[in-house]
Amino acid sequence: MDSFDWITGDRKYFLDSWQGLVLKRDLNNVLENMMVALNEELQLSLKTRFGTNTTHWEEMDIYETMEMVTAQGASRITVGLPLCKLTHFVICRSR
Amino acid sequence: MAGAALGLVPSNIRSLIGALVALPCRFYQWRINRALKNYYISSLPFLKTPPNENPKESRDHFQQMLRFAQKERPKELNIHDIGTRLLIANFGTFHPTAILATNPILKVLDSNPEYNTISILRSEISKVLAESNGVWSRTAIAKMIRCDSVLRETLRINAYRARNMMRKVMVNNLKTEDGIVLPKGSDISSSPSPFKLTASCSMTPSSSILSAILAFVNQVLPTLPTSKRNPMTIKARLRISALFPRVLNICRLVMASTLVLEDTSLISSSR
Repeated sequence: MDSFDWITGDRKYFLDSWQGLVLKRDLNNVLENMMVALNEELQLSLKTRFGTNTTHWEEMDIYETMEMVTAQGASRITVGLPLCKLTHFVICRSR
Repeated sequence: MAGAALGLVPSNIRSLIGALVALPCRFYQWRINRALKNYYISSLPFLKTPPNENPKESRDHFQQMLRFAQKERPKELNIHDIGTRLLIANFGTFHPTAILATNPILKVLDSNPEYNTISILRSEISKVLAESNGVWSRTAIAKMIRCDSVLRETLRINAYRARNMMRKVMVNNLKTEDGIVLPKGSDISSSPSPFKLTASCSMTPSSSILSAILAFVNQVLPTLPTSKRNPMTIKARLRISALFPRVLNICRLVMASTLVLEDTSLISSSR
């Protein structure tokens, strides 16, 4: 429990974790409507992170790339459009 | 990482080291809260109108957390609390998803090229997407039998949990088959992945069961209406037919095998 104090500053985030309740109760209801937005965001992020050049090939770490792709896609659902495209924001969130 | 570091230090200086180890986390938390600040300020006016009234109001997790805080926890309606809670919710969304999304990619790339896994999956995806007019929905995703098989088989072999449940030794002088003495009171746990990869321990169906289930897939499946041809229905049917008590576990393997058997009518019928 102490580690929660050090990492987040307060243990109430763990003991009274209503953020999960909101996710389960409210977000599940609108998930169907968000699929179009999520699909669009994933398409964009997959294209930019993996690249579309088929003549020049590069080696890459799939896990690191997928981490960024999922972070960007999930950010579209959690904070919406302008913020989920900010690279440094996405990097911070995925750490 | 913080947990691993803290396990090594004596408990009396743990609070000092703990605060130091957590510093990078606090830094990222601060940066995220700073980035969220403008969004928070622009979201606040929407809270004055009732929910779902203003069409410009977004329906994202952040906004719903603001709504909840306004109604149930008015003290926590500030950028610091909301931002931290959003960050904690990320633990469940980012890392498992990234790991679970990486493994199937590696498995598909590693699969035997003679089975054309990539092109089979591609054709299935484009077929399902065309059926649902280019828009993804839950029902459309449930129709992708072969993608589901690849994902399930990957999950079976590379399970997300690296350990079985912990068990406590409750008797004295317990010895394993290899002669390792387990002291009373110690916690033990084993890694499940070797069992899944060893032929003698695994649930790999014998050839007769495999052929029985393949016959089911070949003969009964094409007679089902297309709307019922999803993995859940097939599993339910297999359960009813009671071919084998452990058929549900075997079914996952079979779905993966049918994926790679190009000449089964399951694949040809849906082309």
